[in-house]
Amino acid sequence: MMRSVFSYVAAVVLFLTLSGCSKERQVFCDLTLRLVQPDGLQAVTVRIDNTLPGNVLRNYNTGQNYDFPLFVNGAANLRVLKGVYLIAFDGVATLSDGSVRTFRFSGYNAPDKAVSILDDVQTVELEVRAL
Amino acid sequence: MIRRKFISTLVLSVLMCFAAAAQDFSAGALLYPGQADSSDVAAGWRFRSEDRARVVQEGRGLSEGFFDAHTLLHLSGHSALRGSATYRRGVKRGVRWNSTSDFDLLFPYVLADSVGGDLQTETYAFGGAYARRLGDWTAGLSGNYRALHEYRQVDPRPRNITSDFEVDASGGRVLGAYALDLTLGYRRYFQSQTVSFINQRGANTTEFHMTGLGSHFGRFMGTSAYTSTYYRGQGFRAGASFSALSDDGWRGSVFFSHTAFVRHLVNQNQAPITRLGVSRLTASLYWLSHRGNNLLQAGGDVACSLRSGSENVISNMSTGSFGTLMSLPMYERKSLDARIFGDYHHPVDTRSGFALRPTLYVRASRAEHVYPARMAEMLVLAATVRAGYDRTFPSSWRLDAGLTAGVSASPAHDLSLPEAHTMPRLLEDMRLQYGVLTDTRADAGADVRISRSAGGKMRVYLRGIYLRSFYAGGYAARHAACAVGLCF
Repeated sequence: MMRSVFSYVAAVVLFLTLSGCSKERQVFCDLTLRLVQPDGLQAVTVRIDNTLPGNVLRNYNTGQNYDFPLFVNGAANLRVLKGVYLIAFDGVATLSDGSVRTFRFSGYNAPDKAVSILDDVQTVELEVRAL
Repeated sequence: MIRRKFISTLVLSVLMCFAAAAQDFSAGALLYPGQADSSDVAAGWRFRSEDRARVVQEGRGLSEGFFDAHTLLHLSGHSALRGSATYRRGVKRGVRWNSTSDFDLLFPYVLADSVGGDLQTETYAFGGAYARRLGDWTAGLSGNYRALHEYRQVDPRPRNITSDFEVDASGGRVLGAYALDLTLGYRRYFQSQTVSFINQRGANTTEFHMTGLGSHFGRFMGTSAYTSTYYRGQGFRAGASFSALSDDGWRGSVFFSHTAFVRHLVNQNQAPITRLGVSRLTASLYWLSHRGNNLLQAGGDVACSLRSGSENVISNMSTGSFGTLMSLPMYERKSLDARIFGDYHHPVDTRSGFALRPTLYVRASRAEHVYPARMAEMLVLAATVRAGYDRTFPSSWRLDAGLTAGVSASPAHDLSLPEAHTMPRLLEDMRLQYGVLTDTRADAGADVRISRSAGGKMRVYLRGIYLRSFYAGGYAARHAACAVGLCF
């Protein structure tokens, strides 16, 4: 009798202790942002100035802003909280021939266009324009 | 006879305090030994003033008048009835970062602003219970209803109306020298809330839907569209309590409750934006002994609670509705509150006696918000002792007086808040509050109750209590209450 009571109490304590362990997996997404580049252009890197107000990677619900990482060979990886995101930027693209262009993305720049990022691992394609 | 009545009243009051602390009341317990018939009607005033708020969301002070009435009647040898009614009206002073009522029930998911102010508060509460013995079996029913109205008449102007209803059914049986009761209960909760800004010159703050330890929904802040909300909650309670059938012996209980609260935005298609689950496990065990006219009581209780909060991801409105895409488990708070206590009453002679009640407390809690990562944890140890004296005078006057002293300290605590993601004013207030909660404190207080026979079993009384807390940081807090009443 005492043993089973002890087992039950131990199970409850263990549950309370471990219940937080899997939270990270449930709330974060390992996100890949992949640039769909204009025909004939291949950017080696795209650098986005995160201090400019128009460059936005924002969780629309929480209002949390993220910094864009450096895009290398058209892709960038980061971990974000799952949610609905506003994404827009002007980035400085360094092409394979050494020239520099501005890449613009404005596909998810308004609340009604915000993109849902809800999977544990997700790739979002961003169709950029060269200015 | 008077002494016997006094001891019964003392036992009953301690039992009721104990039951209230552990929330482990069952209607069947009305039939337990030590539950003497009593009725009490009192009106009074309660006061709290803090140099620094212990909980900024509850304000730095409180001043309220109250009227309380309760009765316990044994209708026959086989049944008992309990009834209670309460009315309170007052004002909470200097409330900040909270526009929602029942903060202790609903935190962290409250509506808040940086300005706050005084908040008018008004409570009506009614309760009743009935228990009946059928041979070796007992059955009981109890119900409680509470209505709360809180408002402010300057911007920002919250107006909150709350209904909280609980009903319990219990069944029990005599097993040898003990009575055992099993209880099942249901709770339903509702709070509607609107915060208005009327001043033509505009508002110098905005309302935030807080999500825990200083975080908030960025999408839903503002001064109009998102300030109408309601909370809907329901839950259950199950437990067991037991008592020795004699005046002496063991008493105890184990209860588990779970209540879930969902917060909705009224003007956004009733979109549910947060869900809070509160699970609570309480257990108590104590021993009661009468030796001659001495009363000795010792025991302990423990309450573990788990508060889990989820933030809903609301869709982007492209379809014209606020749909819920998923729910993220973002907040969690675990807490443990335990105490052990003793209670000893020793009669010096037939007219006077001394009482001593030492209590030790352990309180531990850890709260976390997943992202941006925030954490607050603390361990608080406390001890209090009350020394009391009572005397009955030949002229039918009676005096009960006591002195209380206590200390509290936090040997371990930690607060981690991301400065870059927290409003500076809120950050400052949270750090100040955390400092108060973990500061070393000494308490000193006095209580007195003077009563006089008004014929038969009826007594008129006047009671008062004053407690002052001195913090190591140099600030203080004061609590006072006084009441005039009639008991019979």
